[in-house]
Formats: sequence, structure tokens, C-alpha cells
Amino acid sequence: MQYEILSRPAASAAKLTLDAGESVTCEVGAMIAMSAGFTVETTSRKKGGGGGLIKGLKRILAGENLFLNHFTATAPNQTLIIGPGLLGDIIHHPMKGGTVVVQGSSWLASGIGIDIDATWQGLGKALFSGERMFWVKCSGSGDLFLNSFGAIYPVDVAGEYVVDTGHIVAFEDTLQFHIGKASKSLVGSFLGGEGLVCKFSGQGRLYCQTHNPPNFGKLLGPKLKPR
Amino acid sequence: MTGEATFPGGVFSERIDDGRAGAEIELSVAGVRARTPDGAEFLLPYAECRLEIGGASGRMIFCRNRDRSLTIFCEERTFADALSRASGGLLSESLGELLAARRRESRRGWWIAASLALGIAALLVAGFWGVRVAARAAVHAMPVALDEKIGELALKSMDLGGPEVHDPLVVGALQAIVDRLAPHAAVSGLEFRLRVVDAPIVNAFALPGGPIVVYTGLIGKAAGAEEVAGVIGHEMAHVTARHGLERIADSVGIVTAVQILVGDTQGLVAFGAELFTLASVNSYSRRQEMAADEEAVRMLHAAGIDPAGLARFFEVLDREQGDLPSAVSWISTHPQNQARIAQIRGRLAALGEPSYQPLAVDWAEVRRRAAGGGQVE
Repeated sequence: MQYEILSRPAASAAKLTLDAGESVTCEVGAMIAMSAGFTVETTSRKKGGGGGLIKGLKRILAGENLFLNHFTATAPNQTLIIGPGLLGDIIHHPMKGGTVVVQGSSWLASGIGIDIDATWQGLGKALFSGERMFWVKCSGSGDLFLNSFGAIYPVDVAGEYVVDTGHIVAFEDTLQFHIGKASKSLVGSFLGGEGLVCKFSGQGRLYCQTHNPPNFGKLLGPKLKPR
Repeated sequence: MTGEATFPGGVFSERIDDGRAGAEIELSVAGVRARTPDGAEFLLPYAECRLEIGGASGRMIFCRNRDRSLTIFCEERTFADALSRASGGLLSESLGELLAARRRESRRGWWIAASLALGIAALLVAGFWGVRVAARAAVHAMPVALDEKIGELALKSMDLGGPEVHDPLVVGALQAIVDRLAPHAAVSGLEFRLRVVDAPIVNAFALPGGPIVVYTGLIGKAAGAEEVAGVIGHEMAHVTARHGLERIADSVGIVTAVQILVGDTQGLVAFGAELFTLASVNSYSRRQEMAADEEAVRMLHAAGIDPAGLARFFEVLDREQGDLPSAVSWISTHPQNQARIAQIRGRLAALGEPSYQPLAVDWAEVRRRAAGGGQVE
């Protein structure tokens, strides 16, 4: 499978080119356009079995869909264009074993060698990280496509790194994070507008997004005219 | 000795493109060995191993060399024990420290979560009771017109259990008692309208706002007009102390309680009317009964009627109740008769030796007419 990410970072779409017999698993509703030579299969399982209803239900908790769409090319050189629901960026993360923990709704597509599951990150993170209660856990090998709100930037953390709540897209499971105050005093943290932050430690790659959907919603919502 | 089992994990090294890859980990004699799917091999001798614990799960073990150019990591639960054994005890101490620190951290997390949950539960319970207590206090600030509305609605839909007595001798005798007591009521402007109902039950009750119902069965049990005056005084005291509204506020759900606090009385009226229509009208609390007794003694004394009648009536009923408790409705739901008699007698002693005017009622005639169904002859 070859990929190209178009019109980054504001209104990205991923153009995937697949050879006959190659498959890719996408988020429901992600397909924008495709060549005629694809078969589309919708299941709650991973392509080729594995997973099933329980994993599907866990994905719902993590903000994804019960169902997965599997696109399989039936002819050479077939193109599939996929994109996220919100305006934003797409990034390709090559997986060679290991696990990436993805913020709910940031998973866009992955190769069939990657297993999609949900994981619980603990009560503190569930309440205060600005993300969902459950996270999507992608493990295995292959191509992983993530989407964001705003632009995505990768950070290779070695040691410590601080991200504001709501700005995490994904991180490798070799990284640990906990919720902490932005500055030394709690009052200062809130007066400074930062409040709580996510403090990462360890070694691994972290993807952050430049904007966060809840803040955008809060900003825009009151200005919308009632219909 | 060759290595034991293999574990799924990963490796960080500059020798790999992108710096990271998944790997199969083997604990060999020489050290921790990692093999990536591309076939690259890495070896970290036990003696050079620096251990760390972390990762998203918090239990991933990282084995690093001194300059951190090579890191082999694994999250398997059995990895720590296997590593400790394979290293011949070389890494046991530092592993033990790491795991103990992790346990401490996780215990701390649980404590925080547990205290948070307890705090939230305590707040919910306190909020629930706070609203109930506040609603109970708030009903006293509401206009008495509300009591009247509830009483009127309840009376309309209530089954009184017998025909109303219209004999002016019977009704007039009791209304005269009400009229003597009314000017001494703690709340002015209430209309205490008395109804006599012909039924062989020893009962009397008042509804919020003033309607009073006395049964002919109770008249038959009273030896004198002062005893019935005591009962009427007691019921009027429930009305003026607004015990009915208090009882409603105690029984309403949390939603109506919140409505009461924000001044919305619709739910209160609807619920109150239903409560007094369906439930026993005499289910007041012990505190409310004692308060009504005390207030009755005060009113009777102020009106110049001997309050001892109330205590005497209690004594009569107490004896009757011993034989057949369910027959005496007025007292069967009233707790601790002896304590109440003692309280009334105590109040009377404190009042000294006042001169009371006997009620100008031919009680024997009232009883006879009431026993006959109170029909006008």
C-alpha cells in the first residue's frame, strides 16, 4: 500500500493506493472517494477474524464505531481517498510491533496487521485529561493513519514533556502520562488559563494536535444562530 | 543453559529506522536479547542493565544500557520474575524496589479514587438531606392560603367513612368549642370549619388550613365536653403549627423538594392533597404530637377551658386501647400515651390554680343525639 496525504494540514485527506488483494480497515464514514475496483466489507471484527462484538462495544466506549469498513482492492493500482469528519490533519505512523494509544475518534484507518481495541487509562485520566473515558489501543504491525483537529505534530519524547489537556492525539505505550498542575500552585494554574495538564514521561513518540474540539465548540456554539 | 521462554516487547536503538521496533525478547545466559521482525538482534548483558518501570500501563519494564543507546522493554506480567531468575539475582534488588514503588503509587491512586468516591457520595447524601431539611423549613415561610388549598382539595376527594351529621345540637356544641378556641390560635385568619361524621370510629382529625372532622364514635367515648375540647384543641394545634405541610415536605421526592425551595408550590399542593386523601391523616411524628399537645394546653388554658380534659381522654382511650387497639383510631397511631399524659399533667401543674369556666353544654344530650346518628328529630 502506498499513501499520500493531500492538502495538509487544514483540510487533509489521505490518498491510499492499493494493489490487487491488499486491504485496509477504515473508520465508518471515512471514505470520500474510491476507484471502482474495491470490495467493501462491513463487520465488527478485524479483517480475517479476531475481535468481535465485545471489542466493537469497547470501541464505542472509546468514541469509535461498532463497525469497521474493510476495503480490499480487486485490481491493481486502486485508489481510495479517506478523510476525517472535522477539519484537520492526518498523519501516517508506521507500526513495527508494539502499541499506540490513540485518543477516541482520532483513529482513521489502519492496515490489516493492526488490532483495534479500547483501553481504560484510569479514573484520574478519564476525568481530567480532556479526552474520553476510554482510549483506542492499536497494536501490531503496519500502516496506521491518525487524524486530528487542527494540525498534528509529532514529538519524540525522551524524558519529560507537557501537553495541555485535550491536545493529545496518540502516544506510544512506552510513554506514561499523569495529570498534573501547569504551574506550582493550583490557583496559579487556573488563573494562567492552563489548569490541568498531561505530563508525559519515558521514551517514545507522542502526537499532539494544535487545536482541541471542545474549546472550539465552546467558542463557536454561543455565536451560532438558533434555527 | 539456553534462554527460557520468549516475551513480546520492543526495542529502542539508533540502529533501527525510526528508532523503535517491536521485538521478541529472550532471557539468555548472556543477557536480555531482543530480535526484531526484520531480523536485527540486540543483546544487553545483565550486568549493564539499568531498570526502569513505566509506560502507558505503568508496569512496562525498561532495561537500558549505561548510555541509554539501547533499551529493551516488555510489558508481560511474568517478565519481572523471569528477569530476576535469569539474571541470577543480579537484578532482583533493583526490580524489587521498582515494583514496590509501583505498588505504593498504585495504592496511592486507589486511596485518592476511594476518597474521591466517598467525598462525592457524602456530598450527594448531604445535598439530598440538605434539600429535604431546607424544604421542611421553607414551608413555614409559605402563605397559609396554601394549607387551605391543600385541605380543601383533600377534603373534597376524601372518603370520610360515613354521612355528615347536621343536628345543630351536636354540631353547634362542638363548633362552640372551636369558636372559643379560635381567637387564641397561634395563626390568625384561619377558618376552622368543623364537621361531625356519623361512624362508630373513635377518631378526629384536622386537615391543613383548618377543616376539622370529629366522628360520633369519639363523642360517645368522651365523658364530658372538656375531653372533646382537648381533642379539638390538639387538632387545631396541628393546623396552626402547620404539621401537615411539614409532613408533606418530609414525604415529597427530591424533585418536589427542590421545587418548594425555588418557590414553585404546584407540586407541593398536588402531592399534599393526594397524601392527605390516601394516607392515614393521623400519621404525625412523635415530636409533632408532643408539640400539638403542648400547644393545645396553651390554647385551652387561654380560652378558659380546663386542659385536664385532654389528659383524661387519653387515659380513657389508653384503657380501651388495651382491650382492642385497632378500634381507637385517634390514639392507635399516637405513640407513647403515658409520656404524653405525663407531659400534659406537667404543663398543667406549671399553670398553677387557674379558674376555668365549665363549657355550657348538655353533654349527656349531645352524646345521646350523636349515638342516634345525629339525625335531626
